[in-house]
Amino acid sequence: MYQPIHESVAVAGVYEQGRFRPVKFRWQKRLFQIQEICSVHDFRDGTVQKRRFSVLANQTVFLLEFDRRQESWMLEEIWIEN
Amino acid sequence: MDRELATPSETLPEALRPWFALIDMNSYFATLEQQANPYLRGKPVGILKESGRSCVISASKEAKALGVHTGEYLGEARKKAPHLITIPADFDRYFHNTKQLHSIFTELSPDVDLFSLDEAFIELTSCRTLYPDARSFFEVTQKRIQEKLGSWVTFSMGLGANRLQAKLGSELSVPNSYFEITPANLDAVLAETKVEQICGIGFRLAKRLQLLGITHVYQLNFCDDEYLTKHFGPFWSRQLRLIGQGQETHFLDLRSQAQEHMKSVSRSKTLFFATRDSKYVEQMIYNLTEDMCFKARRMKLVGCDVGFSLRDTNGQHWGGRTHLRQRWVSQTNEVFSLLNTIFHDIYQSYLPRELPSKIIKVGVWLGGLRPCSEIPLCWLPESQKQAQVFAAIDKVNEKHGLYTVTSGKLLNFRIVKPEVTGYLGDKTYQMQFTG
Repeated sequence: MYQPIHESVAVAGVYEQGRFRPVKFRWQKRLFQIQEICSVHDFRDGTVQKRRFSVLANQTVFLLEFDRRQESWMLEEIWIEN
Repeated sequence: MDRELATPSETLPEALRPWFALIDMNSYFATLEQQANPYLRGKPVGILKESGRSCVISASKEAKALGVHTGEYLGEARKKAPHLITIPADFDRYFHNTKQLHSIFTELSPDVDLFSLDEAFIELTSCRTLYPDARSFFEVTQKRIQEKLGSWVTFSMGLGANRLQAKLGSELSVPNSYFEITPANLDAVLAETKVEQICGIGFRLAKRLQLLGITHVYQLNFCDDEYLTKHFGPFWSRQLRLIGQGQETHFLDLRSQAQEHMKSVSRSKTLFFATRDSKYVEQMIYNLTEDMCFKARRMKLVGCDVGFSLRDTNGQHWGGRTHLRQRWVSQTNEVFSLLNTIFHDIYQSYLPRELPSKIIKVGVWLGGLRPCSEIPLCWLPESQKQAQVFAAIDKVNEKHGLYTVTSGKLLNFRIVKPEVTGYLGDKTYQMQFTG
């Protein structure tokens, strides 16, 4: 099941063909190397454009959200295997 | 057989023959969740509209293999698939991917018609030189979809001389494959196709056909026109004749005609709990009315038919409608006031106490839509003032999200936010105003 987290994270990545691709992120003083970007989708919260990445890192699925207006990253949810 | 209905497409040269494809994404919502989360891949997954809901709105291929189907109650689904993993729907994700698909399809052909959130008709008549056969078109589409949406995402493709055949072909195709209906296999396909499998034949019509012993589409060709007209009337007898010949029906043909604007807007919600509380039902009507009217105002449309429907736990429907003469509305308070009057008329002997039965579903609609520009303006100062207030509220809500500014009627009420529906009935609005 997905566990809500909603905590700020630091994300590093590269720009590829005009799009940002996250490569690693720091959460709770731990560094996570992203193994796979499983999916990306954009949505709007009012006029605020947000982009949500579903990434696989350290054998866990993390849902990272980028707020385009604030230019901030949040870790919204993680997948926990029952 | 009625010869004038037969389209002489077989006499056309191959390059000019109409050619349509229907792409139907396999287990769309569940597959996209599996794409986003590798731990869900290969496992039975059921998508619920929200956490705590009891209806499976999409089942993964693995869940379907165990007998779980779309629309099934969660309890029943769990009996068939005890290890079913349930995930709340993320309509933002699904709609974003639908827009991605739309952009892929428009790169493949200039004539694309989104049929629902996970289905699209593509006319290929003008693209025959690009795609010499069905296989080449399938392979190009598969490559593009998997590049953009992910390798786990698959689809079924149907191809044929019209939309009816393309739709039927997609239903006959196995997942991640295609099926082409050609003049050579058309009769065999129609002979194998049950009437209820045809897009446009609903439950009631299928039942009536079955009562006459017509279970398969090809059997329609053995009924004469008089017989069909006697049992189904002039309109449906003609449509059934077309279906029997594998030709495009009125319903599908309408899709090729551009619609100037939406004819109606509606909004419905299955409640989180069944209730007799009249105040709660009124609040829900207001909530849905606000969502619906906001949509109409953004499209600069006004309507003259308003109505609502309620369904109770016994399956009984309650509701009413009103037609306004020479008056058009789109402001939430005006529409709600009309609906509330009907609501009070229906339940006058019960209000303000509890309703006679437990309500589980509420729906509202605004019909007879016309562009604001075609309607004479009301010059009464009160009306103009109200229009200005709503214009200001809409600006705030467009910027910060609907219900940022709302009525006190929704105080202490769990507000239901706007959402996209699976069949994408409001695609004109969704494609233009969201995302």
